[in-house]
Amino acid sequence: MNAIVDILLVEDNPNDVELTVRALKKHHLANKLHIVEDGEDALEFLFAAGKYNGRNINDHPKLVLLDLKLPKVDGLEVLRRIKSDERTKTIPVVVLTSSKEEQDIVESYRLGVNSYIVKPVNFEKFVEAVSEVGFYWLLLNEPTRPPSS
Amino acid sequence: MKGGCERFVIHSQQGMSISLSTARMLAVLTTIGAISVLVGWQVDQATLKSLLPALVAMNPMTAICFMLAGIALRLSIPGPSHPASDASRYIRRIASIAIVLIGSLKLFDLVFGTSLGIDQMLFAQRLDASPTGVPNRMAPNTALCFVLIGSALLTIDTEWPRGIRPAQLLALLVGGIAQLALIGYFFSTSHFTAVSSYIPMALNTSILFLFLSLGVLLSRPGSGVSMLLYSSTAGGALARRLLVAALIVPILLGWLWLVGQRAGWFTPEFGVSLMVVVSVALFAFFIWRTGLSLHRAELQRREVEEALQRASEEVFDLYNNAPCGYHSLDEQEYFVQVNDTELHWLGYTREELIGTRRFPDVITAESLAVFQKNFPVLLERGSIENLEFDMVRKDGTTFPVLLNASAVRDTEGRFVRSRSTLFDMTERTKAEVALKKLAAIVESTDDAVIGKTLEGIITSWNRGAQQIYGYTAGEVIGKSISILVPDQRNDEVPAILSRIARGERISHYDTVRRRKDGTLINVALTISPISNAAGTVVGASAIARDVTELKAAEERITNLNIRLQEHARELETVNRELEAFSYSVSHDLRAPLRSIQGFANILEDEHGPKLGPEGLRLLEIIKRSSTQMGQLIDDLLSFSRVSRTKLSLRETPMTDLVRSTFEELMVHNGGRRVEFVANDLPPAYCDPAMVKQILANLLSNALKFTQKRDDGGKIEVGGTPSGEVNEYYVRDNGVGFDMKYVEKLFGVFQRLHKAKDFEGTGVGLAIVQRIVTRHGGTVRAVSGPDAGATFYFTLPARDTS
Repeated sequence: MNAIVDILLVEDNPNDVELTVRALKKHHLANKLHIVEDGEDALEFLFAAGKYNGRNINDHPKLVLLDLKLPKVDGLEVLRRIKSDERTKTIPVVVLTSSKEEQDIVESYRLGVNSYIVKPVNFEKFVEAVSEVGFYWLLLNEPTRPPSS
Repeated sequence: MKGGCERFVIHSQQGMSISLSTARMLAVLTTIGAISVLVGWQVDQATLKSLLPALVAMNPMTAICFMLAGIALRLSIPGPSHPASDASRYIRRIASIAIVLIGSLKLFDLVFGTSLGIDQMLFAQRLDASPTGVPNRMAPNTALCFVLIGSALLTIDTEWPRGIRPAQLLALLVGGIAQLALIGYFFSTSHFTAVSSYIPMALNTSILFLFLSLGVLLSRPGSGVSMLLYSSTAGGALARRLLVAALIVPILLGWLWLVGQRAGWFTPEFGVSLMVVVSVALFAFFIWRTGLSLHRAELQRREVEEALQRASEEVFDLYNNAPCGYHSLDEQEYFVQVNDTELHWLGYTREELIGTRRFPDVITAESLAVFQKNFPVLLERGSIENLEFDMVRKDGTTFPVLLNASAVRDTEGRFVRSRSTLFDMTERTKAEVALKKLAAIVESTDDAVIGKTLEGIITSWNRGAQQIYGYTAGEVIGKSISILVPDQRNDEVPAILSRIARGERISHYDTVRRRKDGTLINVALTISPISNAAGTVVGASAIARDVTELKAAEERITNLNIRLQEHARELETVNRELEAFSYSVSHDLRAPLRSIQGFANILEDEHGPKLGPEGLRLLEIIKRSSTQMGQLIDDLLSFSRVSRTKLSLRETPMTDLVRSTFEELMVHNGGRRVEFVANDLPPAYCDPAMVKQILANLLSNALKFTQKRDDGGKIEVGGTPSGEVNEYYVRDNGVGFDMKYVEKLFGVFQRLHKAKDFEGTGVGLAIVQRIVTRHGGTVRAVSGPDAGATFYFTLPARDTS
């Protein structure tokens, strides 16, 4: 469990998980992908707590794909915790959600989200969107160097 | 003219009666004198016969004549209480004729030398035994005087034209003859007493003739010659003064002249000169003095006349220009006098009224009845008061007057004319009508209107007060207002009254009052001070409204409001739930759709060849249906968002908004050819994002429905200000729609075109209507099949909150 992770996918809907994974795989972006199915798991992974105890907290994923509607701890709360902690705030977080609600968009940006993507219903567009996000954050974006421990 | 002259001859009543009693006395003295002469003859007493024994005695027949004349004169002067009887008139006439006859017989003897001897019939034997040696006969001038005086007595009441009375002329003649004889005795010469060689007139005869002459003149003081003597005019005064002087001065001077000549003091020539000079001087003096006093009297008279003239003018001015109308009517109801004021009211000239119009001609038919009833009352009782008439002006308009009249009567009590005073009541009548209207309003209102003094004593009480409080006006007027106040609120009255006394007004004061039956009622009071003409507060008017019902209604309204608020809270809760519902719909419905689409795509990509052509066709249907469902969900969510999102209103430049919206739409309609006309639009006060959605929906509709035209179609946008709101329109020349379905146009999911002709979900116009409605505006559409469509909507022109 100490492997380096490129993308942390936080998604409870297994269909969406499969569609996302297929979209990433199509463009060979899913090699270092870790999937959690609720907000609690996401937080434990990121903060190396609970069942991820022992994981190096400084091994940041290059990207967190975060759904908003999640069991246990919802996406906005997860985002808030990531962006309010000095150790994790530099991790790029992209909200990938079905919600076009103004209030969700505004709140997400207020909390410091890096991008907000509405999942298109149309599959081709969905694949396009996911792969573009992956390309951008994994290949084009230059992340901060994690502090060496 | 006689009447005209008489007016200026003011007889002194006292002078008249003195004159009459003197005449009566002279008649009696004459008779007594005559009888005493007869007695003298009977007893042969010289003094009785001739006054002085040396003088000629009065002939007995002369005495008889004097006796008859005295009686006739006395009978000709009836006293005020004893009018002349037929018998006395008869006696007087017989006596007068007898005197004339006796005198005529003597004259006949003298003229014709006959000796009928009428003067020798009595005491014949004593007539010749005269102490003078001359037989006693009636003197010729005596006989003439009897003819004259007898004629005078016969014609004493005869009057010739110009007021000349023959009797007075005759009497004056007799007086002259008698005076001549008397002066002769006075001057001791017989030339004046006897006519040629005949026997002279006796002294007592001449005296009695003077008495008779004077008596005749005095017996008719108001007429003929004597009239002048008794008149108060300057002429009368002149006559009285100068006549006395003319009678006395020459006699006195003549006597003095005679005495002086006999004594040898001067020669006859000098004596005559002296007498002329003295008489000239004396008369000049008398005339000067009389003239002076007449002059003074004249000046005084003129002053009086001027004062009279001034007074008369003042009275005339007062009459004509008085602030009220004056007129006089004769018995036939004709105008005989009218003042300028009344003429001015009526619009007639004086000539048009006096003598030509009757009072009934200038009043209305209704007033005529009043007049006909009251004019006889005026004739009979002499006055009428406070009659109301409507008078008719010359131009036909009418005006009300108040009339008072009294009757002017002559000395016999006959009606001469009326004396009427009229007041123009126009203003007062108007004021009365206005007052009556106000009173009617006060009386008809359901509110209680109560007048009271500053001490709280009720002075007026309307019908509304009776209804609200239960008391009648008769029961409460004069009582204290406190009978309406419940005991626990007794303090209110003095507090209210003291505020009123300071001139304050108390408005909508809610309190409790007690009805006559003891029940308490809620009233709203408005109390205002009432001031007199000087501005001093003298009382108050209280208007009370029974608000018991109102209070109950208010309570009901409050309860309803509370329930309404509860409902509103419930609605809010439901709304929140609905929001949560739509929120979850947006997530939960989209996720499975995406799965359907996603996996259908994967199926097609990875297992397509195995499905065959029919399998792929069905898979395509699944994909298309799910896409359509996604669109429906998106539209439905935006529709609900339009309802929930708070409006952010501001002044919005509509022309710019239209242009930018159209340009954005054209980005997604690449290559579309269309004629777009954007007129200048008035700015609106609205939420720009929402209105942009209106424009986007309408413009995209217009683009959609013109897409099949060969020329690309035409879209026009315009707007006009209309007061507080502006009306905008979006017009196209596309396929349009049938107006019979216009009701369905703005409903959610309502579509008037087949999906294969024009795609769409039927939510766009519902959103347009919702946004316009939220801005307080209206939306409507006008169209026809293939006639294009015009959508009108209104927005507020400016901030009115």
